[in-house]
Amino acid sequence: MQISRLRLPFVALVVVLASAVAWAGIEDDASVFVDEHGGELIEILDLPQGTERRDHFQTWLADTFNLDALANLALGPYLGTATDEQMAAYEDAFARYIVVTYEARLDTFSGYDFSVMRSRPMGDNDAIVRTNIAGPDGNSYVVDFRVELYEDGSFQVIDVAVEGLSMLKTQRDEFSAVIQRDGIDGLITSLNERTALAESASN
Amino acid sequence: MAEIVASQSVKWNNALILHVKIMSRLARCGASLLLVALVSACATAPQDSAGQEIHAAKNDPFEPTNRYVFDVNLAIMDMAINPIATIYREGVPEPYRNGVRNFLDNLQMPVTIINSALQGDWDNTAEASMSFFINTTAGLGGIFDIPGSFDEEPRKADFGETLAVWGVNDGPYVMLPLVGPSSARDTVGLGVDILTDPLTYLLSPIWSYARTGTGAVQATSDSQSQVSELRRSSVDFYASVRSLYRQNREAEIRAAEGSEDDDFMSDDVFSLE
Repeated sequence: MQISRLRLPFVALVVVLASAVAWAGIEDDASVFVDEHGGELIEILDLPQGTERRDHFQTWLADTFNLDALANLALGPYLGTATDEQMAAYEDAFARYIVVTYEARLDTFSGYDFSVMRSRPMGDNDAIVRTNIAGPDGNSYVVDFRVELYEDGSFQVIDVAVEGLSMLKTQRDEFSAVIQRDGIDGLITSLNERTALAESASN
Repeated sequence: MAEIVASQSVKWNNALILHVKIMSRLARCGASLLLVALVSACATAPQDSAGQEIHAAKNDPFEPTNRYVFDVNLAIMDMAINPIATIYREGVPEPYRNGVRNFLDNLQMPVTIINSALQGDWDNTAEASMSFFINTTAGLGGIFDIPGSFDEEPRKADFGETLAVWGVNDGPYVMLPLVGPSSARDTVGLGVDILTDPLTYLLSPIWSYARTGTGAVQATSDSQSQVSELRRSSVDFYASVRSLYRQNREAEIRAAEGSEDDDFMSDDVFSLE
């Protein structure tokens, strides 16, 4: 009993230190992940616009972002109100829409330099990684990545905020407005129309 | 000397009367618009729970009217401001455009100084005062950026933000004719900013309009490509602008409250509540 009492503070200290190491690990690994993938993105955006760049971007997007989670989160409170057929059509439309939209919106950073500034944990399995993207014209932007850690030890991004403006939050507000007016089918039609418009403009 | 002071005083009084008249007309216009919105075009609350949640979160009871004003604003942008902004961006070299931007930013500085003080942010009050003094004198009215004079630019501040720091909620979303997205709180703030800006009384109406017009062209030329991309790819551009306006305002308020800066990343950016 005496020994147990003596050991208790030691065990508590080990547990605290172990958790601290685990915490530090999440944000550090998330930083490395964002650094690698951010560097790849800058290289892809430097390619001339066209089918080759879009293919590279599509692969990069699928590796870097959890697109299934993005699709679900973008539906907000309407997630669960769609039928299985509607969900399948929505996920398909979303996957194609997100490639053309994110490519066009991130194209602003073509020719920019990318660097990770700092990171910190957010909740149990997430980390926020802050980066700075600086352009040749002297303009620079603070871009935050919300990165999620999965059970197999891999990371994926579930949101990006440029100067405090979250892409996921904006998309969720936008999608909700369309669903409220035209229903989920209306959203699927709108997504397909926008994708077709963007693809025809870039070809 | 007395005559000069008297004539200056008459000029100021005339300017003040003119601005009060303009503000009173704007207020009447705003009140009429608000009445029309309340009577004829209030958004109906949906019956389903998801719809009700969204309805409460977007806080846009005058949505039909706001969407109409938004469309009119976009038409004016397309017909008048965008073409001028394109000519301005393509015809005026970047260093000159930077000079115009610096000059306009410097004109905004008195409002920033007043509101930083009202928010109790003495560091920003001092930085903005120093920036205004140096840019106005050595920088010839702010046209030239004085290199190495500041570690970083002072944070811009306005009365809507001050009200937020004092604990006033933003209230319903409002789309103002020509001005753009706002909220009930920020619309009151805008009115107070016009009335407390010393330049409102120092500039003749023609110069005030010139300042506003140049500011609109400059701001449009700065963000033209991003805005047109967002417009092209959005499934509901009005809802995107409403969301971005709110997020941007929340970020500015977090910065004013000192809860978000380069060294601290707030969870609120990613909160989906």
